[in-house]
Amino acid sequence: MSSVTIENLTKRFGGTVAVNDLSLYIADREFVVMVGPTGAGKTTTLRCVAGLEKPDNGTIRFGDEDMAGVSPAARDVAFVFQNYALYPRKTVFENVAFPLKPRGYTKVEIEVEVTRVTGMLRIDNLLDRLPSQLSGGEQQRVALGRAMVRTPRVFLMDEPLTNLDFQLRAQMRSELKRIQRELNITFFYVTNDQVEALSMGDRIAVLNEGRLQQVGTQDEVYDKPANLFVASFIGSTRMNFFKCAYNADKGTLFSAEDGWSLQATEEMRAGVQASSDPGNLILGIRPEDVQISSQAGDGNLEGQVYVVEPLGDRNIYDVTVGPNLLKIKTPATLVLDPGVQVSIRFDMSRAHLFDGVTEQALT
Amino acid sequence: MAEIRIQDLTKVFPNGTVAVRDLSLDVADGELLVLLGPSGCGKTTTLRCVAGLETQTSGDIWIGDRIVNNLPPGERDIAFVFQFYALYPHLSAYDNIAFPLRATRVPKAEVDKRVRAIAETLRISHILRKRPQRLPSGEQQRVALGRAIIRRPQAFLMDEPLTNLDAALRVDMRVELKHLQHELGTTMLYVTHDQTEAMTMGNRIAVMNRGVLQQVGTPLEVYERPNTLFVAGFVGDPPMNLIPVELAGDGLRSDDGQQITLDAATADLIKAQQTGRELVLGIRAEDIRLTGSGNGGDLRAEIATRESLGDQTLYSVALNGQFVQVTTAPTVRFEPGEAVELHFDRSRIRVFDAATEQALV
Repeated sequence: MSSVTIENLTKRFGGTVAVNDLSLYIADREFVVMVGPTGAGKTTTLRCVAGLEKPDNGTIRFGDEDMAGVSPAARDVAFVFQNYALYPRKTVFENVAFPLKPRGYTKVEIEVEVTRVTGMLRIDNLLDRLPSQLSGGEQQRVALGRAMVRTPRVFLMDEPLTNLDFQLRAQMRSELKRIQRELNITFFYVTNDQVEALSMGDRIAVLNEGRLQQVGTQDEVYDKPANLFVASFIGSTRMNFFKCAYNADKGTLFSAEDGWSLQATEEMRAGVQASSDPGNLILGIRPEDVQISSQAGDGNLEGQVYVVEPLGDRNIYDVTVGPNLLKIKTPATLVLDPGVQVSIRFDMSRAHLFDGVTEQALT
Repeated sequence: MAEIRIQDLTKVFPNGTVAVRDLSLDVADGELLVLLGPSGCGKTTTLRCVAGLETQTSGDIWIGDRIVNNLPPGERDIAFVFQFYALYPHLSAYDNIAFPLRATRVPKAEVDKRVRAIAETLRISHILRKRPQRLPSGEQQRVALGRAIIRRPQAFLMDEPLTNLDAALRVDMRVELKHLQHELGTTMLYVTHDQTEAMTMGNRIAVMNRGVLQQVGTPLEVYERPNTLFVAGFVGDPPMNLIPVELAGDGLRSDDGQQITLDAATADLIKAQQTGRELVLGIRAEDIRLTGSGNGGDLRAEIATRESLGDQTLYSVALNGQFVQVTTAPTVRFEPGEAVELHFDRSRIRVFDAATEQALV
């Protein structure tokens, strides 16, 4: 078990900077998820930690120990990939036991370890099966078992759930989280799925174009996104954004083009002072922080229902407001038909204001 | 546009596999019906039989008032869309959308009218003269959608057309396609394995498994009142919680002996229909309320994990060797290991027969 410190990591491939001056501390026994779109540099970061890539710059330490020059095998990490290569002609038991034999475990010790790990993963009833006789989720658990069986210092995982169907993925999310707690080992997990990041990580590191955008708990990255990228990337239904400007006399945010004006909160008024250009701002609001009503004049904006998307427990309303399409989450009980005129109210205390030039958060 | 009627359709492949078994299904004129199921359930085979790309072993397919069993695909007057193909880069958005009509010699004035109408519906009137590569990807996709749907066949058949798009674009296109279908009153049979796509897009959803139709209904009917264990476990994110129980007095008893009371009428209804002792209680994650101990809940259990989803929190609760999912507002806060009680909303409980897998109440 070990903490992981990444300091000023830079990695280039030819002229492309894959990871740009990245620093991140992962505490001992912490579950950190690095999330970002394809090509953000997540996998490269992970491979540098594993020792599979050599950094151009920066240091990686496990505890106090500098990993420069330490071979991947000597780092004592377990690496689980998206494509879990199991040995097709070995049983589940033999696959899981595989890393133990060369490490000099006795037969009894192997038996004990495999039983412990497969029990935890709930595949102890499948020990005699071959991989071809297992479902995708079961195969993934065998791959995890093989990685877990020897208690590495750090667990590294590269999108291990990507190839599973969505029902299994949801199930494995909570399983992995439970397993990490039981194993009490440091997990560094990489994914492009923000749901996985929010749901599993003790902390989340958001990466884009090789640069770290924000590190924080779920609540921090969801409720206090540091910039426009994080705001738009995190959240299962994307945040709504509106270009606007600030009117200092009235204390309002407005869009002359779209014809609306909203009272700014005190926090926003303070934030505007630090902006590059009060005429170039972006207002962001999450779909669940907008209310919709069929009563005219009930809100501060008028719109028209474009599409209704039922999710079962809630509905998403897509509403046109001028040229913008706004997403609003409502209880499943609210029923409005496409084409209906609606009033919309923003919960401004939950809205976010961004600098239109730097794209950094102002609130 | 016209309705599609599938009557007693069976498709057996030469190797003996029964891909579709005795399936009957109507798609009403102007309806978007989603055929939903896991891979291998027979949904694409069904679609291909309607298109005429496969010949059914038995059963009839009607498009409008014609039986089309013996018509080749080209004479069925339907459009089959696999994906929204890349646009022609040297043509303007206008010419891209008009392309399928020009090939069929529709009069010029009519082409113009239809292109402008569809562009208006898709909110791309202002970019018709631009070339595709100058447009943001969302607008490019809307042009591609316009081109795919400008023809006026009797019906559209769509086979997972959004699968190859990235997640954000898929969500946007879902909205645009549904809007366009609604505005144009298009009859559409749409196949997907993605339950979110089915829920959000379909006027109705038909769920298939292993070649057999499980249930047809509006998204809310299928979500709230699944007819079979399969539908309960397949539709919804998270899927319905399914807890093994048996009838004991006027209530249900879980495997570890905890009792869930039911009203006498419900218990009688179960008694009258059940084929064996084993039952399954189905309840959605949002229909369970969590409290600390000593609050008279239905079941006592322990918090296993907490997953934040932003606007909701998803708890996994350990109950007798299985995990029950409960969603709460983000303000509800329990820690892993904490003892809790589960309170079930009685009006939202489903009970299934474990042997037949059919819903009893």
